[in-house]
Amino acid sequence: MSTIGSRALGWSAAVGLALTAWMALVASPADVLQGDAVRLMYVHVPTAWLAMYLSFGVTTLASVLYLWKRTRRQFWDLVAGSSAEIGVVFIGLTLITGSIWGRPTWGVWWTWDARLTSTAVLFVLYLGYLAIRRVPAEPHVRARRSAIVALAAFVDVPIVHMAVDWWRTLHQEASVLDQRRLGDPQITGVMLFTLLLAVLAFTLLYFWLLVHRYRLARVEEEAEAARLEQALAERRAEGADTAPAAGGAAPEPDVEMTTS
Amino acid sequence: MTHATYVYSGYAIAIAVLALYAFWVVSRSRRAHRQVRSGSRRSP
Repeated sequence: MSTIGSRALGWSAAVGLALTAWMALVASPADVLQGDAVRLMYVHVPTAWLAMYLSFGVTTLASVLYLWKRTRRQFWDLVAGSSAEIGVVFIGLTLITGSIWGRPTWGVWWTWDARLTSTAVLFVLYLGYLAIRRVPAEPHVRARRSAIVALAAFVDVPIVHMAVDWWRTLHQEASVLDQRRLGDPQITGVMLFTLLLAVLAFTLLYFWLLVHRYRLARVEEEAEAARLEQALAERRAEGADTAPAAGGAAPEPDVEMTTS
Repeated sequence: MTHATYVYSGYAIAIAVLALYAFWVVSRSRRAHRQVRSGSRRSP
């Protein structure tokens, strides 16, 4: 994406988020039962949806495309890693805003409820995925290993989604994405509009962050390859200097292939 | 604490986290691009 395109995306996200904040904090009414605490939903719900369905969905899709030999390209590995990192930030915000909402609504900051616990597990799983991406290895080995871990981690996403149906939970059931009431959400009017606006604004933010995080990942890969090439050249030069003057073969440089 | 305090705290944390992360990504991306460009100018 061109710089102009990413700037337009960034400004659209900023305007969308500002409008969302105004709608959520000023224009949208307080809830009959939850009071003003409902305003936290306009951050909590979009970050949860975007982390689980978009960020981790893109990571999974990109990982599959990397593992499939016909579509294997480093591009997919970098997209997977970039999207997962944004997803971890979003799911972290989901947990924080959910905890802040839970204190005035439930009376506790945290409870070992099925939805909360499975979401916390999801957060830890993708933190582990990001940690595995940092383990030094040759790029294709690291990419394959990370892709397999990404597929394993995504198993928790449907568990998080279905947790409120499979177990008796303190967390409320789905208000918008309830399969039994599709097209008939439990919130309406200004509140529904604000929620959908927030989802749109956070989606724009996600794509803007993805563009920049992917660019960063690509440049880091190029810089790492250049450093490795330079290290190899230096070791080869050292080997040539220390080689016997006549007849003897220079020893192979013992360079460890590492990437960060 | 009132509900409004929880709400404003939540929004303040969300804005701070997103702003810090966006700043970290964009500034590192721009710095890395500058380094690559200056490196490619030096090399033949």
